[in-house]
This record gives sequence, structure tokens and C-alpha cells, in this order.
Amino acid sequence: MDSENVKPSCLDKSIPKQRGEINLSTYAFLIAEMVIYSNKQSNDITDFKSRMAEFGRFIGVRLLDLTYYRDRNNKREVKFLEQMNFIKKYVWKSIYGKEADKLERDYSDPLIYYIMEKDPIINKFLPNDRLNFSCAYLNAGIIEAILNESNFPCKTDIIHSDGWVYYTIKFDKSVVSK
Amino acid sequence: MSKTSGKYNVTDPRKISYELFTLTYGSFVMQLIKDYEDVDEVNKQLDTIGYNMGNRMIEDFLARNPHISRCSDFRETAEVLSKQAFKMFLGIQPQVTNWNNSFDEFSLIIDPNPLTEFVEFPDHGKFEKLNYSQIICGAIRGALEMVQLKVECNLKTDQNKGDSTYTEIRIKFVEIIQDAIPVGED
Amino acid sequence: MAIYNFYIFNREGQCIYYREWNRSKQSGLNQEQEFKQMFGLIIEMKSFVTKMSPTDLKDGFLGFKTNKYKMNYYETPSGLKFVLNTDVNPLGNTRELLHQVYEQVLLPTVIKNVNVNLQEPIKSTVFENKLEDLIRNSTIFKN
Repeated sequence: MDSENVKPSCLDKSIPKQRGEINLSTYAFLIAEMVIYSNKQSNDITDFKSRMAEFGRFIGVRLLDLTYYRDRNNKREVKFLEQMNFIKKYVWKSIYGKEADKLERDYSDPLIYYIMEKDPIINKFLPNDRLNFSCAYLNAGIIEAILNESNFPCKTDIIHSDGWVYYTIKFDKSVVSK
Repeated sequence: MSKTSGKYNVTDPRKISYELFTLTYGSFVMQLIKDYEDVDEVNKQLDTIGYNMGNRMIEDFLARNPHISRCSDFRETAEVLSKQAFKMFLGIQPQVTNWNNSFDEFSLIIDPNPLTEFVEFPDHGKFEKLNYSQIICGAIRGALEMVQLKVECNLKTDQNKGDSTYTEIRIKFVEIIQDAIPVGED
Repeated sequence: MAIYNFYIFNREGQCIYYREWNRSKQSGLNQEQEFKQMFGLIIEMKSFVTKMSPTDLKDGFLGFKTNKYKMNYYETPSGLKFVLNTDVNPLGNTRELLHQVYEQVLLPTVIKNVNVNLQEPIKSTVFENKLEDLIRNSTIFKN
């Protein structure tokens, strides 16, 4: 921090313990613009997905410390399974007000896990025939960033099925053999 | 409280967390800066994005507040904007102040500003010109235009500018937009 | 069966949605002409009833009645216009029903929808189904 910086920095302020909540509508209108913008800037669906995930990564990295500090008294998980549980329970609850529904592993590939959510809030205003524009890619980005930041390197993607979103987490070999 | 729930959870199903909102907006602005590089262009984009949001948000606002009709004067507009619209969408009630003599121009003081909380701006001038909260100006302009009020809306100061610790938005009445008339009337 | 047909006009005067239920006799105009004339009628009525009013009007034009049907009108402050033609004496509050169409059908399925705007005719099936539900379950439709 520069010593001549007279304005109080947000780093000098204490992290507020209890904050307000924001109308879901406001969030939905913002997300809608982000989807429209990302779509305009993208050449194809892969581009769009990675742009949405990039938003999520930005959010996830910053959310991680905040959630640890608030809900876990800074106790950090050292096992990747517990870390996924932490996301499913604490992170989801702290941002969306409800836990993600399930955590499962892939039957054939030991590197793949799924966090599953029925009707994610973020897709509330997305019509079913437009799943290509799923806002849930942003959630996948959040999950990926949190796991990567906690030293569980992985890649995430999503699968839509019947109102469910499966956040697919594919870990690096080093993680699962730990 | 169940064992799995944290202490700071969102409790209302029609709401999401404040931080998620702030961080999501932050991620959007960062992306615009990456895509456009030029701060003036980013400001322009934020204003347009806000305008488009305002176009839709006004419908949400009117649908949920059926008792609200067209305002009889600009002072009433200012009150509804602060006490009802900001309250509904951002959970705050900015102060309405600094009216000019003819009562067609006023300021909204936004403090705290949900967009800028937790946001740290690198203080080496590069972002001094960035109108971080410009999206709010765009939204106000976009919303009021739908109820036939044309306004100019500018960010007078924001938390990343100079020594300012709050956000001030200046809103100026321009004209009342006339009703659309039927085209091709026989 | 007391609801005949329904129109939504956007601010620009374009009919973005039309549906009919028990309309046994057509106007004899092609649909585009009918929409245009309906919108023209609304604008004229609104303007003239305001001029004629002995005191300041609050909600202004609410519709009109003939011996065979009633035209019910609801306009949002943002200029969206809803027209519902019903039986002469609809059993229930038509204004409230139209507001419900706005709040419970149009808002969640169209206005909040990422891919849709109010400049184009509404084609969403979710909108259509929700509207159908709301109208068919209203006391005005049933009686």
C-alpha cells in the first residue's frame, strides 16, 4: 500500500460480518446483460462458455476467503472431498441461500465428480430451449476457481438433464491419488 | 439453525447474497476493461448496459407496485426513485439532495453503494476516469424513458475518484416524451 | 363463457400478442387492420375522454360497453396496453386480471427472459401456457 494514499482502502476496513441481501430480480437483470454481452463477443458456444466461466472464476477466488472467514472460522479443508462438500454446503448457501442438492462420483472415471443442482437460481429466467446460453457456466467457474485456489487442480463443465444441472469436476491425477 | 448452515446465509428465497452481486458486477467490469482497454469506451458500454437493464427493470417495478402511477412532478419522481425503486432493487434509499432553483435537477447520494463495496481500485490513475457505477445512471435513464421522462444522468463522483467516499449521481429533467401515435391512420 | 379475445400492444403501438377464446364472429378485417384500428381507437378514446372529463382523470380510459360485449382496458405507466373483450357483465375484476397477466405472466416469462424483448411479437410457449392457465381459471372465464 502506498504510504501517501490518504483515502481509506477497502483493505483497511474490517470485513462486514453481516451484510444485506439483494433482490434476485436485480441479479437476474444483471446476469441477462452479461449473457447478451458474452454472446455478442463470442464466435461460438465454446467461447461463450469460457467467457461465462471466467466471470465465475473471478467471483470464486474472492468468495473463497470470505466464506472461510465467516462460516468456518478460517478452518481449511485439506481433502478434496471435503472441499467439494464445503462448496456444496457453505458456499452455495452463502450465495444462493440453499445448498446444492447432491454430490456424486462418476462410476467409471475416478477423476470425475459431480455437484448436482435442481433448477439453479441462476437459470431461473432461462427458457428450456436456450440451454446453450446457460448461466450455470458461471457457477462452474466459481467451483473451478475455489478448487484450484485450494490446490485441487481441476477443470469443470456442465451437463443439463431434465431440469438438473450437473457441475462436472474433473480433477488432476495428483489430487485423487493424494 | 441446522448444523450445515453457515451464519451468514441468504434467508429469503427471492434474494441472493450481497457479495455475489457485488463480485458478479466486478467480474463484468473487469471483462469490459479487458475487451475494450479504453476507459471511455468502457464507460459508454456500462451506460448502455444499464440503459437496457432499466428498460426491463421499470416493468418489474411497475408490475410489483400497481399503486404507482405517472408522477405529477419531478420531485415526486425523485422520491419514488429513491424510496421505492432503489429500495426494491438495491436495498438502499439514497439521499435526494442539491436541487437546483427550478427543481428540474437533483442529486442522489449513494452511500453505501452495493456496487463498489469490497472493490479496490489500483490507485495509479489508470482507473481514475473509470465510471464504475455508470451502470446505475444508464438504468435510471432507461427506466424513466419508459415512463416518458427523458433525463440526463451523470456520475458526478464515485468511490474510485479522488478522495470521494460516496457515489453521487446527477439527474436532470430534459422533456416529457409524447405518446406514440398510430401510424398509417386512414 | 365470457372471455372473447385479448390483445397486448407495446409502446410503439405494435400488437405483440393476440389470442381468442370464444369469439364466434370475426370483424371482417384482416388481422393487421384490426390491430391497427384497435390501437387507433384506444388512442382516440384516451385522448377524448381526458378532454371531456369534468375533473382530472386518475386512471383515465378503462374501457367501454356495448349491449353485447365489454371492452376492458389496462395500461401500465410504461405504456404497455392490454385489451380484454368480455361478456357485458364479467363476473370479477377485469382490471385485476389484466394486472395479473402483467405481473404473473408477462414479467417472468418475457420481460425477465434473456432472449426476448417487447419489440417483437411474443412467441414463448411458457407465456402462452401460463396465460391460458390464468385466464381459464379466472371467475370471469368460468361464469
